[in-house]
Amino acid sequence: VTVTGTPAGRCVDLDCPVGAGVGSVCLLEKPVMHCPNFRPEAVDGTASDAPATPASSGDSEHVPEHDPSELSVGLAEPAPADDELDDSGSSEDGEPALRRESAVQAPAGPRRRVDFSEGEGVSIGLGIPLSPREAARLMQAEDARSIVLVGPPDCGKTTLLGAFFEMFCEGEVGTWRFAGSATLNGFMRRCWHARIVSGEDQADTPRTLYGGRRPFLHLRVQRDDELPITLIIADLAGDYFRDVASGADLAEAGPILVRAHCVLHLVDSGHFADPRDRQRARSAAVGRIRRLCEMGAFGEGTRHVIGLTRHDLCPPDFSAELERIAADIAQDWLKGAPVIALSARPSDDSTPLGLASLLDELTTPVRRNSLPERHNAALRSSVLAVARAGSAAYSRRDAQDAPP
Amino acid sequence: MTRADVAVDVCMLGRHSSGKTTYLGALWSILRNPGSIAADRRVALRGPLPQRTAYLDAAAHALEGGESVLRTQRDTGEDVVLELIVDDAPVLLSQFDVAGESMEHMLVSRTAPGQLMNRIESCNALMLFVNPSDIALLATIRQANTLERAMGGEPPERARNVIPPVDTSVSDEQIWKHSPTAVQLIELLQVSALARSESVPRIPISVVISAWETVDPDVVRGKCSVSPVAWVDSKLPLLGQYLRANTSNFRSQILGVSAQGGDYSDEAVVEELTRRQMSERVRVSDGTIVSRDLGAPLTWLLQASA
Repeated sequence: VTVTGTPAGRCVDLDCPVGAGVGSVCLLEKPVMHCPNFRPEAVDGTASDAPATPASSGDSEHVPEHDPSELSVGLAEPAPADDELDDSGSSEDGEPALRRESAVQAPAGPRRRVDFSEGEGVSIGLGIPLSPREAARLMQAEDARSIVLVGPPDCGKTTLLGAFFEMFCEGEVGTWRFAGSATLNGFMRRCWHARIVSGEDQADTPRTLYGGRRPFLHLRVQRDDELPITLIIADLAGDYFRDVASGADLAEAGPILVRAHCVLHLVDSGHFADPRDRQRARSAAVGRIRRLCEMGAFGEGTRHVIGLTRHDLCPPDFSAELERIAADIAQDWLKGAPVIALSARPSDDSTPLGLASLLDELTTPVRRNSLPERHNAALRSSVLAVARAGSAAYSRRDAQDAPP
Repeated sequence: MTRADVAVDVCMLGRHSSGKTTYLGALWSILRNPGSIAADRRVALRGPLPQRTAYLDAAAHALEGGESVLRTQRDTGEDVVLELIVDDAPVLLSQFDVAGESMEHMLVSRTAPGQLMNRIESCNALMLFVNPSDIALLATIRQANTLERAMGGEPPERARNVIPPVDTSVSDEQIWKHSPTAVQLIELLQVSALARSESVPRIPISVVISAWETVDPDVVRGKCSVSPVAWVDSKLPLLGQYLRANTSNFRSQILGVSAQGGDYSDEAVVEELTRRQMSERVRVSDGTIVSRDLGAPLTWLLQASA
């Protein structure tokens, strides 16, 4: 028995997520062998008697009436050795392998085959966000810039990062090109719920886990003919910053924040939508930023940027006023940091706003920041200890242990 | 010629059904057949036929008869070693044809076969194959809503907090499995960069868009209507950016290659193509010139790795 065409149309898979049952016509109108759910062993013996017809006719519709293992073998063509055949009998171009009768035998001689199932596998890394130690290694290796996103829960930190990746998938962001990432999985996770594959009706972003041990994303960007710039972005849970205005401890976020080259302060514009909330929202933003400054949370020379997230939710007649408020905060506490209106996922599904400008600001060169005095003292004693030990190995280990 | 003399040691990368074996089969058909001489061919077999060529023979056999090449079985690969003359220079072409399924499995399981990583590590050139009819996009809800509005519909009302505050329901495997094609291809290149020693700082990468006649039907008439570079920018923008942004790490070239010469499921096409030798069926487009030089990617890799 041979199959000269494509057995099309009838579902043979009990578990098919889009099928209407075994033997029904495929709702996706897929030929059986195109179906990712097709399993030859699922074909029962009560197959249709419909004759096989060439694939090009496009109207064949039957369950294969023969041993599925013969799907790709022609009548007059001797079966090649098993190891030459793909399990599904599909061809390389994704079409079912059509085999016509031929007087010329197919070659089936010796090969230079390599079996990958032998030997041990090699880990290629998970592509997930980085631990502090991994981030520190990358910081050293790529002379990266560390960026920390600061803001209370639900102000749009993670959404912003997901939106960056979504935008790069559509094209360049302003003049910036995507140049690679060691944490592609982390970026895809951040935009998972904005993708159709998630099954959601509306794009959303889950809250970032407090106490997460892998907060760092790695992103390389490039523009014009310049060398790529590596960014190590700390996506910390908003819980770290929720009560900081009242004097709460930064906990694990403290050492990360103090070493940042650039801090992006996110202020939720949506909180200014209701006039009755505006004073509270302003006080919360000022309180948080002022407290962070006064507690010495930032390294000397750290660059600051204020991002007004969800700016599409700010009433148009208050937009300019909000930007002025933010500029005042920047002037008072952050030495005149730039203010950028952002809308990572506009409610009207229009193109995200402000991402290119933000990237311009985040990649602006800053002089290497020095740490506040108390951190410098700790660092000096550490360096002295290393010098006394006189061990290069110790030095390397110490560097690896340090957060970026 | 020994491995130490290798001028270009190529590793072929790509997802399943991306045209890797078809390319090899067509190339082999041209190389082994002394009668198939095309005017613009710059690659030829050097010396006698090599040993143990059944894999290549089977692929060429299928293509010559107007049949598609069978896919390489998962967890297997074929170590193809050919002594060639490229532009009058002797070249040992060592290609590692790996099942696309193996590469996709590698991306999801995050474990690569040791042999494959060793070969990637030792190669000095890469060929990245892309099937233009099998492109998975990121496909966001925003894009879908925009499309729905354009068609006069109204997307569902926005409802916030419809998902758990801290979502851990999506596994890393699931995310990799549903990753866009461009992400998978970039990750293949990144994994390759990770595996290779730093002895080849600027490894050349030839990106081959296979079945190019499905993208640019004019190619079979020797004309260019679509540029492979523009096509990548349009369909795989993330990959296009990645290639352009990393010129300091590698050089790349993008070609449209029609190794089959047409659609083998079309009887009329098969009827017409099987009258011709493989060298007369193949078309290679760089966006400005269409040639019949299937060795063009190899020639470029050789020049770029010199």
